Amino acid sequence: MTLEINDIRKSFGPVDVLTGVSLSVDAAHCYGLVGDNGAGKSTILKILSGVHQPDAGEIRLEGQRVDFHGEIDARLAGVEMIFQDLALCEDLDAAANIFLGRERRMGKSRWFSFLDHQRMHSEATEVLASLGSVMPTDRRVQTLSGGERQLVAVARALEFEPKLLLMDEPTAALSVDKVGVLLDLIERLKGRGVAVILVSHRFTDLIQVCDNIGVLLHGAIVDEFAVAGRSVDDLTTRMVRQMSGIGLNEQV
Amino acid sequence: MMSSSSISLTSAQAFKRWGKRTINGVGPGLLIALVIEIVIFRSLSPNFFTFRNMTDGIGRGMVVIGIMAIGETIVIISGGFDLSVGSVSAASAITAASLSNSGAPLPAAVLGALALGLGVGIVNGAITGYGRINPLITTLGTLSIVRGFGQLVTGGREKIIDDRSFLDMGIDTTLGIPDIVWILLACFAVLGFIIPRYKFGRYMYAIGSNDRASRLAGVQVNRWRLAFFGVSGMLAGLAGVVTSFRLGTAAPNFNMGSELAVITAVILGGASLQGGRGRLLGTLFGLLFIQILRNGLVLLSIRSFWQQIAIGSSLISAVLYDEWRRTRLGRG
Repeated sequence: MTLEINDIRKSFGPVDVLTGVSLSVDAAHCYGLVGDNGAGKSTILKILSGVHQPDAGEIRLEGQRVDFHGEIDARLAGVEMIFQDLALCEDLDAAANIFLGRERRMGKSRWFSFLDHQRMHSEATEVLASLGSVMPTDRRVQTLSGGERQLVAVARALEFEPKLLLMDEPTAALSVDKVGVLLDLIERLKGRGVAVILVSHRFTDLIQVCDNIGVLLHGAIVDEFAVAGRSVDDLTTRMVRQMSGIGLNEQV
Repeated sequence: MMSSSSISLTSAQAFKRWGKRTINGVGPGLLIALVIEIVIFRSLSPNFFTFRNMTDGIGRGMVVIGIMAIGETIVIISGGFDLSVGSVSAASAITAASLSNSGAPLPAAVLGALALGLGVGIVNGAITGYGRINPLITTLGTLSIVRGFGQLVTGGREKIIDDRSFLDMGIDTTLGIPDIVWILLACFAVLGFIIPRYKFGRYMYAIGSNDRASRLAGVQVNRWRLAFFGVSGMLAGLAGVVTSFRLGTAAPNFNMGSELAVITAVILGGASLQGGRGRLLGTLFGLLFIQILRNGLVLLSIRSFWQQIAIGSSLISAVLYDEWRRTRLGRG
């Protein structure tokens, strides 16, 4: 799915967090978003996932203008988000977390249908298996390791076949080998035609999986460039300079 | 031969697993305490282990706090707290009495009482959810407001219910067990059926566990809070009606201070004040523990002031034990 956002603005009280952000992501592409703390990265993701509503500007999916009034609207449009803190319920088991808010039920009645535990567990097992995990789906999240929790959060996003996946610092809590698994996963999702926006502080991750990178400074994108054909050193220097507002040509 | 033995093995395993889960869910500490308590009272009082004491002393005696404890369990698991249950029960009893004395048949009077409880519960839920006020403060407020209205309406006096069928409800038995005990068991059965099978139960645990994550997952957290507090209010209303069944009257001071026993039963049953954890079955056992304690002290003719001391002590011991067990198991 192609995502286009035009001139999105957002203030919280007197603070202008986003002062006009425009960007576009094509299907099967990954867009990396970098920026210092407070630059507005998370706010962009929260607007795209329906948590916040923009004050101005428009969001287009496949060319169609969309207005998300809540998280459910975004999910129905095929947008899934993996939050930085994963947003899992510790006391629920893995399957319950994966289907939270979208429980499978036995029947169509809005009020009287039972939860279909069996189906949720078997589907959860499947989606976790597709991520290379064999963890039992009846384990409470509280008892899972950091990597396993991450998998549950990813499985929750994948279960509903997203067209646009938003990831906020997904590798921050992972051990080195698990980071590799996650980056492979992003590649595989791109292969399936999913558009991905990845917010990360880790330049190496961004360079590995992103097609384009945008640098956010004080609520606006100040630089945007393709990854292909540039050396790691070039890219890193460019990100650091733009993030700190030094510019490309000034001497430090 | 092979298959039948393997089937019986798996069902035995399933039973063992269920037993293990129940003990873990209810808490081994509570079960042990309950057994010790029964052994002590049995050896000290010849009247303790009689059928009559089981149905009347313990059974009838625990109905009112039991019905309130069911609602309290729901609210506490969902991350809330409801201090207003005692006051709501009194106001509901007064509502039922007024309706009955102005000619309404018993079922209509009961429905009126339940509606009042539901209404107060929904207000509690709205203030804590949409108004973002701490449930402790909210329900402390409604505790006082609702109790005050009850006194205002009755002029602080007891209302005698003319309809004899109220008292009959409190006296009658079916299959040797008092009807009001059946009411309590029915409440446990209905909610015990609903909680594992419906979104109501799933979201009760989810919201109590992490309300922000639930909201982000698209759960209408504030609407569900109305449901949780609403059910608690409605059950408090029913508890008020049952109090009237037992006494044939309605008074504004009904069940004053009963919140202590209600909350103690829920906490003893293993529900966590942080929300997300607890079981209805646990509450049933917590309730049994408290009622047997109260009943045993009465049978031994120990002054009733000791009841309060004993209940308060068991509340603190339960929380200390829970805390110790959790840190020992490393499950902060």
